[in-house]
Amino acid sequence: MTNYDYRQFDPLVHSRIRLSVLAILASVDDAEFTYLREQVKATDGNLGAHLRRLEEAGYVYATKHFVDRKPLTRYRITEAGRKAFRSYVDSVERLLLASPPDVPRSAAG
Amino acid sequence: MTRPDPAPRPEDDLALIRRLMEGAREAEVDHSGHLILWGFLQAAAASLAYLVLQGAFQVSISGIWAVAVGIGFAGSGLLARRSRKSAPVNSLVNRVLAAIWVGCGLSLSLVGFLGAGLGSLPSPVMPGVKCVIIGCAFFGSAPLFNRTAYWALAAVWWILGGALLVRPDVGSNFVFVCAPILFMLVPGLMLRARRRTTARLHVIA
Repeated sequence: MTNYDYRQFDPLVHSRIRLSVLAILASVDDAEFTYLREQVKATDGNLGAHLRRLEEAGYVYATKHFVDRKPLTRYRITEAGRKAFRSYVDSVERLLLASPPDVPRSAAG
Repeated sequence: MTRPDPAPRPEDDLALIRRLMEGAREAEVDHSGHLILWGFLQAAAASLAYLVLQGAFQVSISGIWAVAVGIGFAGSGLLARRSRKSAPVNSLVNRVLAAIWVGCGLSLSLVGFLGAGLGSLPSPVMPGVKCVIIGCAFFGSAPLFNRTAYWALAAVWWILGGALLVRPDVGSNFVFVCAPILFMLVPGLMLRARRRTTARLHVIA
């Protein structure tokens, strides 16, 4: 399968970076911004913008602390975020089960 | 402003989700501070207790241990609080690890203060019993870290505990002075050094 109709999915979750963030936060209690940045391989600004969108949607929330006078921001997934993430994964799995496997290019001519 | 992503494939999405979730669950937890703190406190308290038994000076051995355990629990509480704020990830692993080591600390305190303090457990067997309990904590922690070193440390503490229970004489207190240094403090320092090196490599990368 090479393409699928993304309009059936929650547009907030259907983004590589936001999906990655939700996948991480769904499996832990909370995660620090730097850890998220390393895992999703995004820049500070890009990840920050994606996180703000998730926060505005009520899918994650942030808490700020100071450790050794350095500000640290931790993110936690909300119940709505967990539900949206599960729903997205279910949709993708359903789509994969319903679709025939890829036809190799050489066989397709 | 968020950059648009290239159109993903569902197979890739699921593979990415699985990889990230497994990685986050297995994210390494730093508990080297607790090992260093408790290794140092146990070695110090056991040294003082050994000197008291040798007649070097007279103070209550229970008092020495009470102070050490009090400092240990307070210090561990502070370390845990700090770690909850600064750890890359807080997960089930942290909670299970905390439960194992708090359980170990409480067991050691009960055995030490009630068992030996009230005389139901003879004092000379205490180092052996303590080694066995610490071995249990390392054994319980090993699957969470998935490191051979933790299984090896559990085995060492149990072998040492068995040996001290076979020969529960005053010398066992001296062995118990060395054990927390060699098998708790030193591994803790090595873990810390390794984590700092990893952190530096991350910064360079």
